Amino acid sequence: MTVTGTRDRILEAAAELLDKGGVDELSTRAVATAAEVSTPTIYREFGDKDGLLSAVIRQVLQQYWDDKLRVSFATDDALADLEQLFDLHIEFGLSHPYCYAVAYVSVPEDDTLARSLSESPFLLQVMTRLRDEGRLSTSPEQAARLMATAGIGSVLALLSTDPQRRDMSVAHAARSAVLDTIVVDRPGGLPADVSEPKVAAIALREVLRVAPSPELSPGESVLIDEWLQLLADCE
Amino acid sequence: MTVEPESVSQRILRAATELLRKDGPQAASTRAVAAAAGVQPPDLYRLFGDKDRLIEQAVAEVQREFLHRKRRTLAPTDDPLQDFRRLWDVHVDFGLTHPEIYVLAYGHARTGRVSAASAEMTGLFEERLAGLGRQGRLRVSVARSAGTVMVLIVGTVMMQLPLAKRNRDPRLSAAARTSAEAALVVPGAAVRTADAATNASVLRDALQGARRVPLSAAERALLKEWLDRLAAATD
Repeated sequence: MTVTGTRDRILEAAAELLDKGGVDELSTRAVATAAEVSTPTIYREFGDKDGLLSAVIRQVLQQYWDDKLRVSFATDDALADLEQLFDLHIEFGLSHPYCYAVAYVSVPEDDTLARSLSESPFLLQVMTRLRDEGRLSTSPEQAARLMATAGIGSVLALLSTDPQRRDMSVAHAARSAVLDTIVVDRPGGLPADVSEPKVAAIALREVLRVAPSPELSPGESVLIDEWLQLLADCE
Repeated sequence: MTVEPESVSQRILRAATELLRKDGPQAASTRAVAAAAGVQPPDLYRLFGDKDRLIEQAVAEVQREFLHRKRRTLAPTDDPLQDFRRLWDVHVDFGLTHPEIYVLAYGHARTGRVSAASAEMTGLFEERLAGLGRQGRLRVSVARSAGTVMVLIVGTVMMQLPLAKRNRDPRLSAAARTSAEAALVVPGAAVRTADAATNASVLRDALQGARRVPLSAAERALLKEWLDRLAAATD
């Protein structure tokens, strides 16, 4: 077996441990067992645990970077590519929470390598395409920042939800909110006229929650609350 | 008048909060907190489970203290939209002035769980959004609206945190807030009287011609009866 093969196997095993249990799971012994190598081999390849950690993060982010390159000019529809980029960001965050946090959740003095990999030109490129097509209502820079805002916020919201109960609709609602602000006349965007039954159902539900009506029995109150919620959430 | 003696857990929490606020997360080690509170580390584990739980509570406490200092700005008025905007701005201010604490509260990749600070903040936004809902100005249910708000606001702060102050974009927060409002708030809606009778009659009228109502015919008939009853009630 070649030396490169060993190195890759160690990185792969380490990335998997990191995704599962965070940095606490990343003992050299655990990595050695998973990669079926000896611990001295790890030390020889990466120096120490920190060396291994930064090599893993670098590789995972590089892979993400390559994926972004792949989707950002996938079609000749800039808006479709933008949505792809957004979804890729979410997918990356959910499958690599630890590396994601290193790259996107940091304070000024944190790792600059991870930061430079996270600041991608791809969002800006796709926004520039939209601008050139006359479809952007703001500057490409501002549009890219707003989109990134929705992406980062979505990943963090989803990561703090029980994996069994994660619902992409929270991410897509934020994505739509931003797209409706930055894209002129977006197809499938927010309808100008609001759904009156929906607004009225939300209003009545919130009123009854603060001040239950004596007109309704306790059982009726519970049931009307449920139905109003259905009306409020229907698409 | 007797002053309630501070419980041991209150003393520990106060010590942890002070260390966290003054010297950051690194300073709030189990040993340092125990020493400052005059207890043994085992007491701390017994009362809080583990260090993470204690830090989580202390983080929430720092946020509460900040919100308390801003209580005049945050006092609810009869305009829930302005109340919402003020809470948004105070939240962003908190994040940008408390980077390390903010990351602990909103960026911790502790998969599957919302932190205490984040849950409390969501509750505050929900109160303001419910106020908008009662006035017939919300187009998305309170819970979903709060979800979108939290995504966009946390993303806004996280985007800015790693940047040096001079590189931060003060317009980003306003732009993200505008996106949230555009997606959630009925534009130019006349403020409705927030009582059950008014809202029941508005909903009854709105449902009359509505298609795609997620209720069976029998349920709709029953709902109409209740709405009639609510609409006819004079307090």
